[in-house]
Amino acid sequence: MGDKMLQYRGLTFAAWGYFFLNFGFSIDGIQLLPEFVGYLLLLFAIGALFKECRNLLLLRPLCIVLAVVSTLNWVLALASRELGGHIMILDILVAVARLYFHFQFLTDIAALAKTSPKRGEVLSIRLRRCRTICTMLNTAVLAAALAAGKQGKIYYGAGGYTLILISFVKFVTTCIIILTLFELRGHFKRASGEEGNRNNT
Amino acid sequence: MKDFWSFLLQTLTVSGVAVLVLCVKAMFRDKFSPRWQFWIWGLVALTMVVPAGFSGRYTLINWPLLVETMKSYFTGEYGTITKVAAPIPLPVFGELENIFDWIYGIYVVGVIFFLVRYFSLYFMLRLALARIFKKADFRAGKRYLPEDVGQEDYRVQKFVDFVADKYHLSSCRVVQEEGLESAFICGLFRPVLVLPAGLKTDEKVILHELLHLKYHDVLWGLAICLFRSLHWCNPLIWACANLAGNNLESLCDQRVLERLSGEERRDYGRILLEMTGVKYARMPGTSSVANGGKNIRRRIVAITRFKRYPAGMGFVSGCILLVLSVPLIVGTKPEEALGKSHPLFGGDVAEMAQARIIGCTTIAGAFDTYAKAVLNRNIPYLAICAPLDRQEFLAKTFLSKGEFDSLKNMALPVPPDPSAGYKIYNLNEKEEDVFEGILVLKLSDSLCTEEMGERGDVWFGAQSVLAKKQGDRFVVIPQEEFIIFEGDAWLLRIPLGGNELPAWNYKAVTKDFSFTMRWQTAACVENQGISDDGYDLIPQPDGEFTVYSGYKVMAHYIGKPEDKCRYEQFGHVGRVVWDRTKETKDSMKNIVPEGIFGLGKYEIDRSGREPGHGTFSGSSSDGSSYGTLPYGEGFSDEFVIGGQGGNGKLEIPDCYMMEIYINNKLYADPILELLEGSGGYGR
Repeated sequence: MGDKMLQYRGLTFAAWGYFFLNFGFSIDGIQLLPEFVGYLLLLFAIGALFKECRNLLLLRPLCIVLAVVSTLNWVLALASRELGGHIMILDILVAVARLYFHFQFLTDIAALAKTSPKRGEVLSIRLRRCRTICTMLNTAVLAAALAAGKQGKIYYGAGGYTLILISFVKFVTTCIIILTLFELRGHFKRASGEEGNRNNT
Repeated sequence: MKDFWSFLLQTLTVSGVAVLVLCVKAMFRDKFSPRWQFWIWGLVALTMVVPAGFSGRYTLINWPLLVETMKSYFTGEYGTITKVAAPIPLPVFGELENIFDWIYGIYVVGVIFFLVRYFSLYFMLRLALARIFKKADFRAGKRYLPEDVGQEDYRVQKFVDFVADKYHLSSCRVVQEEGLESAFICGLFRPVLVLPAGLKTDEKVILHELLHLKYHDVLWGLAICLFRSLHWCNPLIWACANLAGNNLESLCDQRVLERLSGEERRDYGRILLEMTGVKYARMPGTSSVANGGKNIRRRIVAITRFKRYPAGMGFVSGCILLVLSVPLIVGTKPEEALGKSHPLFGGDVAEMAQARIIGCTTIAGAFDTYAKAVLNRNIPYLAICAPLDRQEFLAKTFLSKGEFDSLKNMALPVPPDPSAGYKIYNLNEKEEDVFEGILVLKLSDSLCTEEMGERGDVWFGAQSVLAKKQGDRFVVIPQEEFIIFEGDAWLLRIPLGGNELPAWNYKAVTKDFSFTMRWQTAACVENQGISDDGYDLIPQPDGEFTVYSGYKVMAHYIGKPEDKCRYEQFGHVGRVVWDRTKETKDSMKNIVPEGIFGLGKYEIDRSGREPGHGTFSGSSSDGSSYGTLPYGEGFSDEFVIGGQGGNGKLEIPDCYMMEIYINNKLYADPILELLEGSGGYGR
């Protein structure tokens, strides 16, 4: 499989992974687009892209941990329970792991985007900026939740108008990230097609 | 720390943070540089210097609950709360009464032993170094002539100065010692670089030591020794101290590598490899390039990762430090767990311990907690707001499954109705941080006894209570038994100056009439609608009051009965006055709004009204009321002429000013004054 095709596959996994992580709907508290599917897709993305970006390998253990935690949360949600809110140290570790994982993953994808045959620099800058905004917002929400003592809500933050505003901004930046990933995927798909044609001739 | 329990609380708190930091370091071992890996120990250091349980909060894990539970379980003590006054052992004079006092004594001896040992080792080393100098002169930076220190020492000093100049670092005095296997820096204020005599020390090793000097790493080494001494009996802290020391060396390695390039970096790694066999003894006040074989192997692994840590992670590493430091600095309030059973520490002893450590932080919270203890018939709730000298009795009653009603001043003929809530009537500040009031509860309807009355009557219980500050918590002390009385359901909504409960009484007397006003306040912490189940019965130890106030004005005829017929029309305007010195002659104007039933100011209409239809009255939120009554054939000797109730404040009015109109003429403008001794039962 050519390099560009591998990158295309990896970016496909990454784009759909982020989609599953950030969008979903529930019926009776059961997620129909579970979060753990998103992490599994990101794990496949790491497997496909690590040759281009070796730093991604460092994220594999974190991705597995986050996938396991998401799976447990999904299973417990079936019984109307949740994993968080009982042992604060575990909550903090998971929150910190999630914060770092997404920051480095998007940093590495942004570095990969620079090699894109089209609009590489633009897409890279866009990803880095959105990554920074999301990290800042997540840090603010986490810190506020920890300061307010809402032990069980570290994953989701506290309520209030400020949170609504933060959630809106985060929603917009997340959408931009996902759309950028899909655009990047498209560029690599075209590039892989051209690569394949060249190999055939 | 003054006893075993406070030391246990402090060391457990530090251990919890250490576990978190170790987990985070393991998670990011290959992702963040040695610089970050060392500085994250600052979180543990921060926890060590702040007394545990500071401002009533705990860090990460509810250790105060564990310590209090253990203390109560092993010593039977319920009347004290473990506090950490300082993060270091403080001198306590007195007899060693139990085994835990002896254990604390051994701990203190251990601290002194380790501190003395570390400092004596350091001083012995400095003395040994002093003998090397031909002249006992430790001034750092002073340049010696060859004839002062000898040719060999002079040559080595010059070489060290050359390395310092090459890398733009400060130099220091150099001495050579026989029998040493590696170089080290010794001293904080007058540092000395000690090199092995007779061995050629590589330039990179000297660079390593000079970087220790530049960044004052000896200071961090001293701090680690201090923390190791304070928690000498905690193996986890001991291990963390070793790790922190190794991380310090790795950080220095990184600084060295940042100043070297290419083949020099590989040379540096080879030099470290050669030191794996060097013996190493931790010495306070020193920092050494060699720190043991196993540690050197780890440092070499870290060196191979130099420049391979993911770039651009500075921002997120700062975010992670911020997220980690927030729970350590802010802490968690213990009342977060109120109403829920603890996942780890269950049982009656733990429940009483939890009640003791929660404490009420406001007067309103104390009253709310007391009221809900009575509503729920819950002894642990009562313990939250009970004085410490009462804790033991409450604990023994609770542990022996005693009845709530058996407690002093808690007996009621029937249980209260929890869904009706409570009010604290006539709250009054006697002195600073001392408040008294009357707790009013509704009794359960369905269980009213025949003696109390027919079913359908509304019965209440009222009790004088006092709240005051004890240490850093507010406590409530009941003053008497509950008084049972029949009343109106409005008692638990808005006070209206009714006669069922005491009030602040105001009075004025004119020729044929005397006038009285009964002023009441009712306060509570808002609980309605907080939970989906209606009235929230979980105490709010840090709650704030919502205050209502109300009053009733009455007229009493004190003239001759035969003179009554002279009075055909009675009207009044009046207002509550908070500070009479600010009132003017025109104060009574504007009380009666224009246009009310076509009346103007001061005009009382008595014509055109149907018999029995002539009364009207009104009030406004500024405490004023007005009204008019046509008299038919005779009138009762006592009648209500005004009043109101609604949101208010705890302040007691200065007086009540009125203007009385009889038969459409101004009759009197009395000022109703506060009577002494009113407001509560027995005041």
